[in-house]
Amino acid sequence: MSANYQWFGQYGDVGSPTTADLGISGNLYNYKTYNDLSNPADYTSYPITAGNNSYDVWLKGHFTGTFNEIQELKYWKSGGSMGAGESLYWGGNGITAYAQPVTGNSTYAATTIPTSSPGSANVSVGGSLAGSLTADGLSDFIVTQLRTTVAAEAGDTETFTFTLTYNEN
Amino acid sequence: MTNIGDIKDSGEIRARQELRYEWVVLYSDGSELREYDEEKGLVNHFGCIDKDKADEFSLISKKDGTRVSVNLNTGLFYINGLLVKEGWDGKNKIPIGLFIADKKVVSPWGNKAKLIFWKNVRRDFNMGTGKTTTTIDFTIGWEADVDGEKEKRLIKILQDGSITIPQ
Repeated sequence: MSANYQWFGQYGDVGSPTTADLGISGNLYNYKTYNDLSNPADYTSYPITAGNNSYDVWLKGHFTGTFNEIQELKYWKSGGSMGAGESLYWGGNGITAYAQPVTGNSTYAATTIPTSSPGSANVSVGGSLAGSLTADGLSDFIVTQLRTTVAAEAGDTETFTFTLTYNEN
Repeated sequence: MTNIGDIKDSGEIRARQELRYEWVVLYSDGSELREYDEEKGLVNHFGCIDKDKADEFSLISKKDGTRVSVNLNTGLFYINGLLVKEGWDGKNKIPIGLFIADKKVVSPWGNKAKLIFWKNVRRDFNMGTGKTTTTIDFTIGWEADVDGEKEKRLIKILQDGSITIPQ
């Protein structure tokens, strides 16, 4: 009685997006100026220059296998410090439909990402923070974006740890 | 709820490897239901538990066999069959469980407490190192109306085997 979990990503043009399980281990994705999650290592070819943003990244939690119910999804940045001129924005409540990723300020990743576990669910399922899964399925979208100002330093950012928690039985 | 799983399914095998504890329910007729039923080759979930027959729910450590149990008729918690009455938070003794066998008990599970069981799953992804980790704690306990009062008793078994009382 344990669900199988994978990170699920959606990217590409809104008219013909690509959906894919990103897996559970290894380098799942990176922030870059290329609207494609298929090759995380290519971020060096699509760098975010100071004063610009990454494309917003569209993820979901993908649950399959044997379980009764999955609920109370929480997402936050649990590790890593932002460098000068860097900030991470996110959205996770009620984003049920994919929209065109942008390098402007995303209207979906619109608030700074929490840096500690929220007191209650902050990622919705079926459009509701009180929603749950009782069969194989996906959470709603978790959208994040790395934004920079001209104060951002050259080179890779600090490493970040992102955490998703949920209850299952 | 999802269907019962096949114990040999590759996804089930992977999910099982993440668990430090597996559960078993003891029924009033002496039989039991295991999360991983090796004999039948099945993977069961919470929704498979027969509410009418369930007496005791246990988590069994895959590492050392430690058994942490809650009895739905008595309201008491046990470790390896020994009653656990109190916990220690570093400052104070905190009562664990509530003896309800001599009280009027009503819950959705009948004249006994309703089982509470959750796996508290945490998945971390480090962008940069590409390292992912999974931590699974377990919350077990019960809730019921006891002599007309709503009562709930929970304990949390952390991945390292330590036990805390959820706030």
